Amino acid sequence: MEKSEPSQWLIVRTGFLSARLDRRVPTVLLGLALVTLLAIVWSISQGDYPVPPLDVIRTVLGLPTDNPNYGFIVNTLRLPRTLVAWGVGMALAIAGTLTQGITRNPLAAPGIIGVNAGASLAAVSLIVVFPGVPIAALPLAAFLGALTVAVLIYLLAWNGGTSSVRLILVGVGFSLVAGALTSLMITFGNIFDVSQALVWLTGSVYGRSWAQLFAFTPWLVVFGTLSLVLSRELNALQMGDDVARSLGSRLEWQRGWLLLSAVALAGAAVSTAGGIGFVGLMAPHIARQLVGPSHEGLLPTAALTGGMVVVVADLLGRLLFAPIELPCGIITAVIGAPYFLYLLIRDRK
Amino acid sequence: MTDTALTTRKLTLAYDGNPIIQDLDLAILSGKITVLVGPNGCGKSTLLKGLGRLLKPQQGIVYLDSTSIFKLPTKKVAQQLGLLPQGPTAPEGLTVRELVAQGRYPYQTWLQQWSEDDEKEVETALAITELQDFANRPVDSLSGGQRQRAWIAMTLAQKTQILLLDEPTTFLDLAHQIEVLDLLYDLNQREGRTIVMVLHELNQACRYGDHLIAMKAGQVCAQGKPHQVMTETLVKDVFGLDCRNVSDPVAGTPLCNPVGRKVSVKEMV
Amino acid sequence: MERKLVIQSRTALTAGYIAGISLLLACFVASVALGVADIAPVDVYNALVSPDGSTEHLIIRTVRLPRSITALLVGAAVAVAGAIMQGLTRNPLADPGILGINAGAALAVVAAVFLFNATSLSVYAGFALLGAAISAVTVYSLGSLGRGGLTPLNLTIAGAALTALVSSLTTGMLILSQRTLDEIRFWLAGSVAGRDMELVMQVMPYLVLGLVLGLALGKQLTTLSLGDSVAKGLGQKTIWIKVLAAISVVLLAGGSVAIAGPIGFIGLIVPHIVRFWTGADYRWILPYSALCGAILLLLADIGARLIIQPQELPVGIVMPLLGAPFFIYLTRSQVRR
Repeated sequence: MEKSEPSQWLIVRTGFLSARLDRRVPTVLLGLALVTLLAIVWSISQGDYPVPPLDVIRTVLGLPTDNPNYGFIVNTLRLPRTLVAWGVGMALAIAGTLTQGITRNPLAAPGIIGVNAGASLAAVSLIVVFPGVPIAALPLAAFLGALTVAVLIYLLAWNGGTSSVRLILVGVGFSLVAGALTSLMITFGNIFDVSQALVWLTGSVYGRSWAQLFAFTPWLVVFGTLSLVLSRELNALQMGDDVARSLGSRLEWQRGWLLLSAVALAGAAVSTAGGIGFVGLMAPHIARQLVGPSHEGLLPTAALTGGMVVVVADLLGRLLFAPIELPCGIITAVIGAPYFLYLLIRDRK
Repeated sequence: MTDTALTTRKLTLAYDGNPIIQDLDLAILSGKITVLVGPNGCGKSTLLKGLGRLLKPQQGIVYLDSTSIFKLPTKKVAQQLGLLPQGPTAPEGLTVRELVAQGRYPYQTWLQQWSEDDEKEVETALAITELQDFANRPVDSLSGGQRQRAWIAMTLAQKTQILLLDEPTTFLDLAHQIEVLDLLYDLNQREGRTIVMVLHELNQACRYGDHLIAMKAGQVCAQGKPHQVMTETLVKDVFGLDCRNVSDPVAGTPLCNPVGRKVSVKEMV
Repeated sequence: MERKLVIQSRTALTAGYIAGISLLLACFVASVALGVADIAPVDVYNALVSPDGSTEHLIIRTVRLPRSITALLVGAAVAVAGAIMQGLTRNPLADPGILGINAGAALAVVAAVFLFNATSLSVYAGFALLGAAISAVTVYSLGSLGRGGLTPLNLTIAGAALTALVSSLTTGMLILSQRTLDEIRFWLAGSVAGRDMELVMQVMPYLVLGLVLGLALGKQLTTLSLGDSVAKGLGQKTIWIKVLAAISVVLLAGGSVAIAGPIGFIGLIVPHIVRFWTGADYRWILPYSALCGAILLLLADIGARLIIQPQELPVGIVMPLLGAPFFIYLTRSQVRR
């Protein structure tokens, strides 16, 4: 068979394994990884107590530097928080790609499945109503809140089967209820607690420690891998329910697993760093421009893109109004909104 | 190899409790082109979906090679039965080759995601549908006829013995319609694939179909060879339309000429 | 989205409306009568017709009456604005918030408190209206820059983007200044309490004008909902209709935010609920929305007053709590695919 143009795929075949990938993917992933690494190093070097970038690298690798304080600043304060930013960005991006794939709607964000609403409600309740409870309980509470709401939405939207439209509408209803309850607490709570709650709501990685990173990482690894494995199912789903079924996809089953992954990832992310917006919406779009719609390549690309965005947002949040820190969630919205408008204008014929 | 590819026994298909097809016993002949015709709302699409395992019967069974299709494992069915719904949409930016590759889904596993077989079948499908030159182009940049060929190529890569198509020629211009129908005819002749399609155009149905099934209000009014089914009385019965049938000058099959209000050229003089 | 098909006869719709009006009146009277100090309907009537300076009559005239009128007007206004938005954007998830109106109004008010230390409701009202108008104009202009011009999709995207941007700026200010947060958070929750008659009178012209304009556009909106090409083919000047509709929404939603703060939910949900009864003709959807919105807000406000007596809840919080379960139930039973 004569092929006149170079193949658009990269094909891997070993003994029992075979896979194909859009040929742009490895280069793009490498590029994103490099930029992210630079951003992480730069981010760690900035702050009240600047650390030269080379010393950042030395400290992380355990090599000796001039200043003994660097160890604390880099390894205890800034490295974990920056890694959390990266991890959360990746999780949100994957969750966003999954959500857009399941609903076949490029405007869907993970918030639609009610994760943000549930997590926010749980977290704000904890902060405002039970201020005595230790901060360590926050991620767990938020996660349980996210899971509960997501499950409720799925159950309520189920009526002989799932439907994208019903999921979205029920999700909207739940978000409104959760929003009202959250609003209730913001209006009547102690002002100091409410202030804290607002910061959490906007999404911030301030003060995130190694403990939180380690609590979060398994979710990212497990469900990120699961999502990657389910890429084929996602691809089939994109063709429409009928075609997917005709190809032999067990639709309800697959949608359930994909939804579970999206909820787990978004839930873990939101409970670790609050409701960082726009990443789940932006990252898949950007990734699609770079590597096309096939999910084997789209998912990792979106993940790296999302991670990079949040790291950069955190950096900007710390620098722009120094010494006051703006939560990275605000920066992602400020970047994200114009980006979307740019997409709008750029697409005009 | 049995004579019938698909059989239904007392099949009842319903939407929201409203039965569209009731108690239908039908046999689809293997290796032939069967065409479902009938007025809008007669249930042809519903029947096709029922045959293609997309709709769970309220009652009754659909048999594939003497086993109920709902008892067979999903992937096994997908390897034998393919369905192309009406007006399918591909995600933006998907190339033709990627679309055709989707057809290999029923043969892929977690470990074997792109075997040599998969690659070979995709290239074969592209060759049969003469789309090699377009393989790397996005599907949405193709013309209507080419796009439909790409979807058919996908079902070819699926390597099913039975192909179900819901109105594969609607929205295409005449040249593209014939292009698609000729392709399906070739597939049937060369490889003996069983084809069941819903067509609106009666004359195309007569020309390309070996076996016609005329439906009205969920029931089968008549079935058989085109010249048996496509009679003036039947058309009046099923469609409520007067017509004069002649023999198609190109293919010799029945050609239905409807009698409307504008009739005679003589009146224009 | 497939829903069960609804075709009501004109008689049924008219009869329904008349029944609705009676319900509205009952709610209005209840709203004036009930509260921390329950007042008998007879006294309500007397207070309006022949006031005698007693405390009760005073409460009715200066506190309850303005509050009930506010609830009625705002409820009707926001519901109609929501229905118009959904018709304009052909998106059942649209509400006035999509034009960035609530977000823009909130930003303006928060900025006023943050930068200028504003404190009175009337000042809030002025800024809110200004913020609402500017947002709407911005979203409209941005929306028309996209491919195909002012399509529903472009409008929705432009609105969502601007809203996100504006709300994050608002939250930023609230985080930077705890004083602002304290001042403004009750207003942000949405409430009809404590609005005096003067304020109501100031904003009423906008609301009434918006309502009249909106209701007059009913027939045009139905035509527009068939699609731009079809509407143009029927001779409609679609650009004009879209602009007029937008003006109506700004007046209605902007006026409502000015007086009562951002009240969500009604604009989104009421048109949905109404459509299950009226079908898709805007000549009925709009008046029915006004009716249901008013009833809903009045009932919610009564609830807000009574639930944790003698404390009060902002009505913007009570409403979603009551209405969302009903909405979810409707979605389950009515939406097919």
